[in-house]
Amino acid sequence: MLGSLADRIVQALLGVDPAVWPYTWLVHLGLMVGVALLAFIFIALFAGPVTWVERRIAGRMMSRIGPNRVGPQGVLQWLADGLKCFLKEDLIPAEADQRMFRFAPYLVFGGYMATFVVLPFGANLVAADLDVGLLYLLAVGGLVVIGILMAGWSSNNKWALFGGIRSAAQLVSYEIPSAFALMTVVLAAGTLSMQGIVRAQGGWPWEWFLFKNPFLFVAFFLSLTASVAESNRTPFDLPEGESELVAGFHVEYSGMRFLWFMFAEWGNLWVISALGSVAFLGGWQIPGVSPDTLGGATGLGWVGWQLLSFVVFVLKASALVAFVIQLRWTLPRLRVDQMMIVCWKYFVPLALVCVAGVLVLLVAVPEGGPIDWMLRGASMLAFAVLVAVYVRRTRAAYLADRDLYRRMEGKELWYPPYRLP
Amino acid sequence: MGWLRNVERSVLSILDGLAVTLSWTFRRPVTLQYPDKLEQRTQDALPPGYRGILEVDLRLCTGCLLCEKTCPIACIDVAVEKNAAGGRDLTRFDIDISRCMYCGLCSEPCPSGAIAHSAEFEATAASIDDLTLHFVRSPVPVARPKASETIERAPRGSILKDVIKGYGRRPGPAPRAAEPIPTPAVEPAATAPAAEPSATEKEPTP
Amino acid sequence: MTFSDLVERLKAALGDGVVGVDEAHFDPAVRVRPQDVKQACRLLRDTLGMDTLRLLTAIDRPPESIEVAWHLVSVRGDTGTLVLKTTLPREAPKVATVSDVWASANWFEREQFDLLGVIFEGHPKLKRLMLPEDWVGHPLRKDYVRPDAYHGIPTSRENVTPVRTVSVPEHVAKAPETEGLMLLNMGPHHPATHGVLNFLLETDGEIVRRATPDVGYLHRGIEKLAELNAYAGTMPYTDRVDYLGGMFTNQAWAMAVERVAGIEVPRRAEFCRVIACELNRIASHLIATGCMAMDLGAYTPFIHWLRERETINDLMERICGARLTYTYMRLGGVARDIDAATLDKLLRWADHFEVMTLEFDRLITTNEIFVRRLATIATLQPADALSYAIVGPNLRASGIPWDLRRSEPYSVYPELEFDIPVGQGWRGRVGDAYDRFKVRLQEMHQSLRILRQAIAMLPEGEVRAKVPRVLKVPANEAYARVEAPRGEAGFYVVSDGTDRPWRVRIRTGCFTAMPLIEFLSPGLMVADIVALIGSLDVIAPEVDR
Repeated sequence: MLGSLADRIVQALLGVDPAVWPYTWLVHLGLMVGVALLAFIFIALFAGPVTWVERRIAGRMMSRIGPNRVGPQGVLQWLADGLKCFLKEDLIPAEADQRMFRFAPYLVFGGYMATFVVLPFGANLVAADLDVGLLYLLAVGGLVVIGILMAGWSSNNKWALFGGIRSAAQLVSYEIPSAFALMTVVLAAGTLSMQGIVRAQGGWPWEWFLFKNPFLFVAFFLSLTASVAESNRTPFDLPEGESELVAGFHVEYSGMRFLWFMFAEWGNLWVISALGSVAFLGGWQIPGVSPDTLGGATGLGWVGWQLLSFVVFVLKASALVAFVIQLRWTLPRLRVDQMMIVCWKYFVPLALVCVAGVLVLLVAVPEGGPIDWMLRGASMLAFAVLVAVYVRRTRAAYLADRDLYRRMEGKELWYPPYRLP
Repeated sequence: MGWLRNVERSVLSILDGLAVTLSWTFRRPVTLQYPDKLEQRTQDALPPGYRGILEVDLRLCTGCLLCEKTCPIACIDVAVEKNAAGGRDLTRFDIDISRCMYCGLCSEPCPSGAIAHSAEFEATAASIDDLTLHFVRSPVPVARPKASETIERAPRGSILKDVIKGYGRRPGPAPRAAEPIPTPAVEPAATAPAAEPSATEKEPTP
Repeated sequence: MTFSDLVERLKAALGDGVVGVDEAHFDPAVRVRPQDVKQACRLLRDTLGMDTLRLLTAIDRPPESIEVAWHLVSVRGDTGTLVLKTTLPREAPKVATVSDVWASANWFEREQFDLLGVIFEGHPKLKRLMLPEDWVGHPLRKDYVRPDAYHGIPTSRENVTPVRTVSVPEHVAKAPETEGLMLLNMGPHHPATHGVLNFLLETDGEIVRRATPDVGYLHRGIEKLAELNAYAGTMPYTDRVDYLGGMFTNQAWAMAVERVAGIEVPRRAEFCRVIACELNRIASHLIATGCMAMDLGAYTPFIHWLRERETINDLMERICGARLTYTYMRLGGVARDIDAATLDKLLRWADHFEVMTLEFDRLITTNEIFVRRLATIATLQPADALSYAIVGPNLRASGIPWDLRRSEPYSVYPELEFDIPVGQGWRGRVGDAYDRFKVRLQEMHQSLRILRQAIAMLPEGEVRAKVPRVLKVPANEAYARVEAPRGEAGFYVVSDGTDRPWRVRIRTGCFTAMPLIEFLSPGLMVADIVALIGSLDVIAPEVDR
């Protein structure tokens, strides 16, 4: 596509025959670089603000404000941090393996960036709707493992090595329950293509794969947890264990090289939430609107529907992002052997059971029949009970202290925390 | 089975934890945004006995050198010399606030309350030499022993603003209107009556 | 068993070995010959029930001798306390080691060798502890002259020429590495070592085979400083010994000097001391438990505890004028009275805080991941705890109900009602890291209980006894100890009739807890070492003083 575009540009602007002109390949290359830059900016816009969101939410959970000085409410904090990292001194340890050290961040970032190709941002907004989209996504995520291992090893630092090895073990192990949990979705949808998976679901919650049957319900949580482990986030952040290894595998990196890792980490947060929402929450499907309406619209209507589906997708992914952030700031981290035990003794058997269960149910239960609806109802009920328990406990925690605090009359340097700002 | 019990305990305890953190997102944060978004200047909000940077009101100093002798870290340097008229002059009163431990042992034996802690705590300087406060610019005659009965001590912080280099650079709310704040009395609240605003402290020792 | 019974038994066993008895001292002491020390110690431990060596002090007595004093206590027995002393020639101070009798002697002896030059024969590794290996001289000796520079680093601020390059000492540059094991330096700069502590971990992959603590980075020579200052002037230095428990070291120092000088403390002052100390205990345990959670990856509970500690800091600000370095106590009482408004705020905050502890429990204490990280990790057996002279919550978590407020009562604690939380193996084994964590949480509740009682019982009166400004103390010695959040904070003061002490020895709970890390670490993973350090609540200034 870009090749023909390059030909047309050469033809129109220079009036030369592109097949003959010796520098057509340069124009082609320039166009590819331009597209890559655009993609990079697009991706950066997802990674950067996520850091701001995370820091604000984390702040509120700790009864403090997050960053709120740079720009209105601190929205430009990530730009300031990025700029700061740009301007830092580029230190490479003298004893480090120079080539591997320099190359590792690009592998990690590449592994993360390449996943954006198959994410369906809207009804027709996907860079490349591969037939093997989901498989491609999981495969490309494996690049991250190599990158982290390279970074840990080449730093010539024992603590970085610890981080690298732990991360390799963790990421490789958790790919298995992750893949199996997503296999259940593939079975239910009948296709590996991301758009296909979204189209196999509907807009309304009971049409989502999340509630289709109890095994898929469990598979959602398995997939989410395994994805959290895949992206090195607490409770699985031992490769980066901040209070043990300071920064784990990227401890020797500074400046822009470090920023590549951070980009990948926070961007990954977005990617796994997007994956979860595509696989289990119906992706860009708008409640009440069938895909035919979206496909059949033209002109401004088409643009409007695409925009709406994009907004729905972002909302669903953001909900998962917020949940993953909350997980990080609530839970302590697992030790290496505990992490392995959880993976191999709990997640893998559960995932296998889910696959088997989904298989059996798909074969035995006819689509749309009464048993199918009963299963959906049971899953939704389970979810409703979980949410109800959760909300009740939240409210109890909030109220338990409020009345006592009212007796203290905030004075001088004492703080009344019971008003929404 | 143990396996199921582990899963159940994990899920329930994690849910509990998540509920607590979620409840905190709905409460107002306790952060005070220092120094510019405060309702009042922090120095004015501190309790009266706060042990901040030491301040000397030379009009009350009798030159007894008790503070210099009591200081456990030798951060006070006082020089008293005879002047031409036959009396005694204070020619040097330096306090090295980089050494000072803010322990309060010097202000207790002072018979007139000349040296006392202010509520100041901001004195960042670019050079460590700037952290030695010189209270005497030109020789000052020492006060009579009963001076504290007639002279009111300057309000806390009012002398420091001329002595600390770069005082008052930080943004923030305006200082409260100056009013004399009593230095803390050593007598227990039960026995001695409440001291007047410009009370001095007398140390109950021979 | 009384002191004279002990002396009789010792005389029966040693015969001429017992040289004398110091009964005029506040802690009666038995003097033995240097060559009989080992036998006496064995006897004391095995048959006379002295299961803990709580302090080992060497006292320089120029020009002829150096005295060594062993403070012993019977924790599980009923023989009370005893001080064993001996006098060594100053030119060649040699005495047998007792590190095979009590494990706590190991580091005590290393430290006295380091600072005073006493040689303990038979010690497994008599190397310097606080000072670098290639330091010359023994600082606590009375004739010590400080060198001007150490490897190019000047030792005083005056007349300093800026140093551009500093040479690295040999023993640092070439640390030996055992075959087959990886030497990891959990170095002085590390988020989880609670201060400037260094551990040399030799690991086999993730599993630690040996962890050698390397201390002395924060050694400020407070014991020497105390000899140079008047008695009252040492008070602010004691804050810095344990900065999280400043009130306790303040009180211990005040009690030691009051004991030696014969000063009586008014009753209201004692209650003020109790109130300040228990509030400080809560503040310290907040940091201890919060940091344990933070070291294991849960940052939120720590910040919540810091928020509660902010209120305690504000209360302390009202009480004594400072938020951390309190210097609240004085010889003969406390510096200022606590006014009623502060006490009212304290009581209302206490109600709020109790609800916060419930939230904390739901957030982290019952969290399965947290429990799994701590339960059955680094279990400390009671016998080992006593041999290593472990005190405080670490000892109580191992099942021994030894709390100085009850076992060696002081101040007005006999009049107050409170329980001693003891480890029960709530989720794992008795004496594991989770027990140490929970014991601290429960102690906070007990402190609240004490606070409420003390405030209710606060009598009228003076808060400070009249003490001469220049306090000359007759020659005597006394050891006073309080139950600090990290165990026993004790001061052994030797006075000589002037207004400055002759020797001051500081006993802290963390110093004896540090060798435990070497003892308990084989077999743990690197992540568990972090949990172990956090659960022992080790902080660097207490270790190094």
